[in-house]
Amino acid sequence: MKERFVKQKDLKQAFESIQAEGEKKEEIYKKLSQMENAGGQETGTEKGDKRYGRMLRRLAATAAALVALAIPATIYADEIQNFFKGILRHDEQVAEYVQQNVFEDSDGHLKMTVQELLSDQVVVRAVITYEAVDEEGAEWIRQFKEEDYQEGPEGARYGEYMDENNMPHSALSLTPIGYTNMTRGIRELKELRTDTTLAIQLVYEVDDPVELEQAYLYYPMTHEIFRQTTLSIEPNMEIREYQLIGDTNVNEYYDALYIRISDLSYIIYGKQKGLYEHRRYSTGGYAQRMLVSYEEHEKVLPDVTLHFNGKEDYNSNYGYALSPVMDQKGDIATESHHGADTLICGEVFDHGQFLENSEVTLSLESEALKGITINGHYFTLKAYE
Amino acid sequence: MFEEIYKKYFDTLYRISFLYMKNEADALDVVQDVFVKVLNGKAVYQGEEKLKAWLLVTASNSCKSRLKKWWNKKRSAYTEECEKRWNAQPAGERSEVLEAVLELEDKYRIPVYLYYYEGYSTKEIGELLSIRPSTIQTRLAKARKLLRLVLEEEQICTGY
Repeated sequence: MKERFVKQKDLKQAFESIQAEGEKKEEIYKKLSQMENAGGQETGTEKGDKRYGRMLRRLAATAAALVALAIPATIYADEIQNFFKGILRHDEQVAEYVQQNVFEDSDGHLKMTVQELLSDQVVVRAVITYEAVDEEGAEWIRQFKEEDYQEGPEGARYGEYMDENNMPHSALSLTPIGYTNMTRGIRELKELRTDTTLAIQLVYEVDDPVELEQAYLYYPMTHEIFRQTTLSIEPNMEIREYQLIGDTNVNEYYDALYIRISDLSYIIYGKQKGLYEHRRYSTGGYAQRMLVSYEEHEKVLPDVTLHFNGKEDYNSNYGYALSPVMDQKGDIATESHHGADTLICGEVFDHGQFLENSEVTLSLESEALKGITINGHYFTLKAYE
Repeated sequence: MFEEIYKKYFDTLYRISFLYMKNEADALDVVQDVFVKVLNGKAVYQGEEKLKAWLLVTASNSCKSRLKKWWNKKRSAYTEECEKRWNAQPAGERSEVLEAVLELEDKYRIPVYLYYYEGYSTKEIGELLSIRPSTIQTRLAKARKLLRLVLEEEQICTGY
């Protein structure tokens, strides 16, 4: 018996059948025509993207076309190193956590150093610096504009670069290695700019840090659009995980099982009950179907209060929530999550402000956590052994 | 000029966006964003082929970027349109082959579309997607195997 093969004609027909409704096509054209006549205004979609994609800045094509200047090379003194000490600072506690002098590279014109790194695996902040080694490097620094390296609401643009997973990335970015939902951004610390030095903060945050141990750092040099290195993002602060002891049935859609907390973030995990279902294809493709509507999903977000010894309670107003926890292959990862299959609530501190300056706010004293209230259900805590 | 580009490339952009996003609402958002860029003068007009390539790459990058944003993933996963599509679309409306193609991972699905529908060579696809042509060849071969597997699984492939 001869096996049937997928014919090119069948494939063509299949693709041909992907058609938008004529009405929609017309609708968009009308909207765009109005824009064209108005001289190019933002669409609602773009506005929405901007609102949500604050940290995801745009990367414009940036072939760093530098002109070698016929100026004698200048060597800059080592004292400059001291200038960059202690960028990620707020108090003694942060200073204790920050890892210094993480990585160094040079192309003969510029020296790039990962000066500092702070990680609890959910939120990772790094400060990198460029120092000119000669006049060519100094010219590169003078030409540097952060907007050339920022990713936009639409994300990838013409001229962006693909990583090995075929995902677009900025030529200057920090990206966790592995499957994750994340947001990231960069910001130049302009107050530290001199003619020959430059400091940039890179940040990303993820929903769920499971199995994330390394991140790619992409960075440009004078004559290279980007180089790449791998940084360890092992937490450099204490991470605590506590089983929640109490009536776990906090919601008709999920049970609350445990909390992962550091001084920078917390995540509460649980087990879902009819919130979504999964389908995994033999080809490796993965699909998730929500069993409740989006509106309903918004309603079932938990109301969380963290209780501390000797400190005021913390009530969470912001929670990214209700997504399945997955491993690097995209399978539900209950084993690595103490039996939980769902992230039911989480919060990262400094959210929104963390790119604005280099101060780190440690909003939580995770060590002092004594209990949690979720939807009126009080839980005591038991550390996992 | 814009109208001409819109009419000529709308379907192309919608197709590639749909292949990434797998739902109409998000695919249309991407298409609209790409045309906004055209309006804003960001497109490359050095010949028709270059313009088409620019549009495809821009749409493709836009889709990837949207898919990686956690908030967008949730939004697209939870929208009712998406729900309806899962529940109500398939067999009757979509061809079995298209269903099978949509089940492939992006890395296989997109080269299949560009190669078999748009008629690009593996070298050209490599340039469009910033991937080595040899990798594209491998992915196309794997995609063909996977398609056969999916069609067999769905008991569509009965042999003849």
